[in-house]
Amino acid sequence: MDKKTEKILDQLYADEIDVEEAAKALCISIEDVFELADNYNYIPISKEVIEACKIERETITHIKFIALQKVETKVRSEMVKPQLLSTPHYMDFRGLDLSKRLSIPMRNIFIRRAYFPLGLKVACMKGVKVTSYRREHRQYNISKLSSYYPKQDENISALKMAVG
Amino acid sequence: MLTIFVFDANVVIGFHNIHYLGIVLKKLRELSNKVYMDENNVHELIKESGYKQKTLLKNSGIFEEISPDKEDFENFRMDLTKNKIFLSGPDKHVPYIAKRIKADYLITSDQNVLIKTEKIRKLYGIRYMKPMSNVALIHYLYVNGKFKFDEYLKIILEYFKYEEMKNIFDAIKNPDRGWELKDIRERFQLYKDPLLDALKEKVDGAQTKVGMYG
Repeated sequence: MDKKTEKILDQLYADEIDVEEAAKALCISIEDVFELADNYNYIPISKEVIEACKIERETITHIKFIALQKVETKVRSEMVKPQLLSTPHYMDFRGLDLSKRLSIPMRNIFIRRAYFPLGLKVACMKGVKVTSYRREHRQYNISKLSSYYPKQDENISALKMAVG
Repeated sequence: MLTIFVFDANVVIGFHNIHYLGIVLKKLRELSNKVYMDENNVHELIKESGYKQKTLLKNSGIFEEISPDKEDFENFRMDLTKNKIFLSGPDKHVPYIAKRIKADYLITSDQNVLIKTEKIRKLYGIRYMKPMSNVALIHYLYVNGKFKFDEYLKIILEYFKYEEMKNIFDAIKNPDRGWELKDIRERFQLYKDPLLDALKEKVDGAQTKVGMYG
């Protein structure tokens, strides 16, 4: 391959000229240019080496970012555990002609996903301190959680009396 | 999550030359990743180095060879020509197939394909098909926990010794295109940075453990 052909192929690979221009300069068909180019061992110039290194560095940074994201998602999924929570909810029986207003505690039981920092035995949920002991009770025997509703029995007996 | 790779023929040859092709494919399978190659690049691989590497790819269980759609490929080729992006015959098929199957990463050790892939991504405004070399692929396996630090170090250095040194030597001895010293330093930096990063994380991790329990 002569120097002129090599120079034109270098320009073609560097996107300085297109295939038509290369064919014109070499006085050959476009198909012949492709054939010549396929058999040519192009070595990138300084500017291209630096550009290629920059692209690779960006990809390496991206790979690291994605890997860290995966680790974070995995750790978070271990931190999130479905919890059965029951929170006190007071209802007013305004419609009833009662000598005194009653507040009857009801329990709203719902399942929610909650974030608990890893290794922490106690977490605060809406101002209620939730320990692992209470969580177990809440899941298996809710009625035992009378400490949350100190006036519950009094209120129920008062309502029974009022209703008759 | 499934990660899709498209390999250039030179990636397979490069890993096979340092006897790590089987290991790399095994690690990719452990991560449930997929590797695709255009049939033209597979032919290029067979032409350059026989059937052995294709057999290794086939036996990996994660490899698939794809035939290009003639019309679709022609449109792709025309887009490249219109936008003055030149790639030689088989090289064109690497970004073509990566774009078609929406691959996450395109792996090539050809810097020209790497640069052109980035141009093609900009041309079509796509965020997938990130171009990277064999070195970055090893780094990918390391950060995803598939290599221990010593294995990672060994593979990177082997690759530098046998593949990168060969490229540098070819580039230096070429009288017209001879690389300058700063180009070679730039290539070396690409190997040095991830290795130092990994080493720093390892040392920092060890020091934290010593701090906690020491």
